[in-house]
Amino acid sequence: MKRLATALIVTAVTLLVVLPLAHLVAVGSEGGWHAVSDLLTRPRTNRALTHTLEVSLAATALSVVIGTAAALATETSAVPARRAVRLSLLLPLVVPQFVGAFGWQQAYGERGITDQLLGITMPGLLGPTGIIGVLTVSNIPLAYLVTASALATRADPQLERAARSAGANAWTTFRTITLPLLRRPLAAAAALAFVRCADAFAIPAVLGTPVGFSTLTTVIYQDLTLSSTAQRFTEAVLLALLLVVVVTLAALVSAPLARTAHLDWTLAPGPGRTPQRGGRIIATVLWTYFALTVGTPLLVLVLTSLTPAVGVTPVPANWSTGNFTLALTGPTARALGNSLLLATAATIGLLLLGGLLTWVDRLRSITLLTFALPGSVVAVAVLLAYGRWLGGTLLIILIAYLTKLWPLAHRPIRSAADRLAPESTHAARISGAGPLTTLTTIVLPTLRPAVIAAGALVFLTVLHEVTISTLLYGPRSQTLAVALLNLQQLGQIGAAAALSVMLTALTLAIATPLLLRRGTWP
Amino acid sequence: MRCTFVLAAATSLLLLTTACSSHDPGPSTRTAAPAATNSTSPAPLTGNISLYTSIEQSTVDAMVQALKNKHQGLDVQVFRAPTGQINARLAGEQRSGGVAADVIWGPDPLTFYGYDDQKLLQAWTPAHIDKVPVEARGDDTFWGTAVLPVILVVNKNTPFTPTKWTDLADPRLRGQVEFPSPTFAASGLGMLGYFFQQAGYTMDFVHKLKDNAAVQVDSPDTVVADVAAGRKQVGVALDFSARQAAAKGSPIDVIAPDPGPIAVYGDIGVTANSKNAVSAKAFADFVLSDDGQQVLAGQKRQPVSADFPSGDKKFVTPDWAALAKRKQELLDDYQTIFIS
Repeated sequence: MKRLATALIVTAVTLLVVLPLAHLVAVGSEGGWHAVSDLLTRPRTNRALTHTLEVSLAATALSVVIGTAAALATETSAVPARRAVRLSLLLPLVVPQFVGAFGWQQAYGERGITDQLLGITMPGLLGPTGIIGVLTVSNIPLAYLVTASALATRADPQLERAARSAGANAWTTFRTITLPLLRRPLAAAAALAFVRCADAFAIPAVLGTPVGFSTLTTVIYQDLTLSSTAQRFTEAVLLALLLVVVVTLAALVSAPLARTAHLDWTLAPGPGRTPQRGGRIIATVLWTYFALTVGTPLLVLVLTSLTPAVGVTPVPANWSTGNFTLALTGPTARALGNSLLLATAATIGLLLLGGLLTWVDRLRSITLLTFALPGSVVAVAVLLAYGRWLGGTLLIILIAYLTKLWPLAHRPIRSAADRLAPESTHAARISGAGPLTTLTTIVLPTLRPAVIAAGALVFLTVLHEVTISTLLYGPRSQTLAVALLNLQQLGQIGAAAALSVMLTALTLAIATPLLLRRGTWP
Repeated sequence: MRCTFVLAAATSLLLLTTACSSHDPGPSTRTAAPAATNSTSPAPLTGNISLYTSIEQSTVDAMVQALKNKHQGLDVQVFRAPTGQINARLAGEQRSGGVAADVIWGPDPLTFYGYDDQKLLQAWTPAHIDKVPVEARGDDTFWGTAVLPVILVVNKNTPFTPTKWTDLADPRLRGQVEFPSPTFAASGLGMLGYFFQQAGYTMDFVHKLKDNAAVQVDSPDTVVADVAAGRKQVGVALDFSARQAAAKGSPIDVIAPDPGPIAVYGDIGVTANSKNAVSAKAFADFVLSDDGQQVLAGQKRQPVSADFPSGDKKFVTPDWAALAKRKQELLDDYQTIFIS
């Protein structure tokens, strides 16, 4: 059984990761070593690399710290309206990154809402500070989700209570008990966040280009734009491989952190956690954060979608639904169907792959390599590997999603599986349960929050994905992103905003019941 | 356990090398076979052709429909994406089973010179060649179909209204000028190319722009939005999207600066790999025919044909062929000036 699973994983890794990467390496070596060393020593490359590292490290650190703090706040203290608070913290996930960047600019930039109403603009919004800020906000849910689900599946909080009653103060308890328990999921979240920051494109493109601040992804995009010459295409691929190297190094560095301190899991389960004081204060802080980082930018987006043109004052007298009509004309309906189909297929496929990889636990680091590639380069790699047979089909887009997003499904499941007490599965097997019974009665119920989290992450990411599908689609496989890009390219910012609003509303409609349901969170 | 990564990396390297040797098509298989051109039979066209285009959906739809009205048996499959995505897809296809497009329509002349260098296109002379102005003709493999005029867009509240390109360096517009990045957008590259080649501008003018605190953004549409919102007073943009925004109520004016709007062309070419070259050429011919040019005019695009005059201002345009040879050098110079 396990041998079969291992064979499956090896096959999947070969087809989804190794083969596409091999094609990229082949393209990258077209120019020989000379081209590689020439590219690496160019100031433009060094600048982009430095910027990418700075921005990604800062945003990763910030998002992990804030996300963890928020998870501890909502999961270990009595916060009023906990489910709503959780939902609000996760909301940036349903907001596509380009919408986030656009919303922030419209909210806090020059001539933004706060500028017009209060004369306040956010200093440094254009440039590294703004990029770090928006990247942080868009990655906080990741750290939050991972930490919250790890807290949910961890051994009961008696260890903490024991520490407190033995005289340890809150900080000592956190430092010596809670943090070691969270170390592994946090390392996983940090790795994911770092890669997501390093391969983010829309945010540095919108907030960095005006001040000449380039990152690896924006430079790769420039090269692809100019890639009607073979040299530029090769360079774009080489830069993407450089990004893979950066992420590989980051994974190597973070690997020791991911080692779990060995802890005794054999304490008997106890009643629920003790509520702490200050729930109300925590809730206020969280709601303020939400209003500033997500609420206002989203509100601005809604206003933009209701305004017929940029520069028209967004007061009710000027509102119109024209943008929504425009957004819904053309192939949008079919595109919506395709996007939902792809998102569903990718979610099922990736949960299976993620689960399988957690069980087999081999080759998992390799899946990070393609996760690190920018979407456009993943698309090129998959096209090189499978375009001959599958060009223009929905299947090739699906393959690209599986290639790109595997770790996104695997990491949350894995970090929850780490919390699974091996004794419980042993006990089940000793008591005569078969492997399937053990899986369905012991393993899956414990992993459920993590599986739901992973599924939601993948589903929403696919629904929002813009670069992969716009490069790979064919006559019958347009996706929502293709429709959105059509509108944006036309300068129909209002219509693009309208489609984004509908997309966000749709994902909210799907995600809210899931996240608010009793049982999703213990 | 901890060796997993190292082990995995080693395995992947091993697999990489084998995969490289067995799957790289190699240069010999990349050059496409010349398409059959023996058929000269007139209408009706049949079969199906694949069109890669960066022209907006509504115009493509109108063009395809107009051609289909004449040739019901013809099926046109459209892949519409920004130039960058088209390039990446072509580059990918070239290396795996060959270019799937029959016709490429929309990208700028510099991009087409790149295709031509890579031998992606086949020689072809349009039936209506006399209507295509000399400066819009490529290397007898591609031809201009529409003019995309690069103009100035000005906020209605601007204290100083520029009337000529040199006004962009006027101190009264200090910090108030925005333009599309030449590394992202054809309009930006067309502007840079024109300045670069024109006596009285050259790279000195780009320095002056930088000294006047002009700002680059990614696309001409961003320029229009920023000027409309009042973030900047003046911007360099494409005529089409600027007029569209103005028509919808954005507080902007469109200005054709002296000595004239800079003409960037949306070109068309037939691929060397086309399996249905007869229909592909017929499509390209149709875009350049009176009927096709009329369709463009109907979509508020500026047709390239001399039969559709552009009004009182004459276009200026860089020498694209000369520019194509020095593109890299030009962009490098630009980046040392504009990117900190």
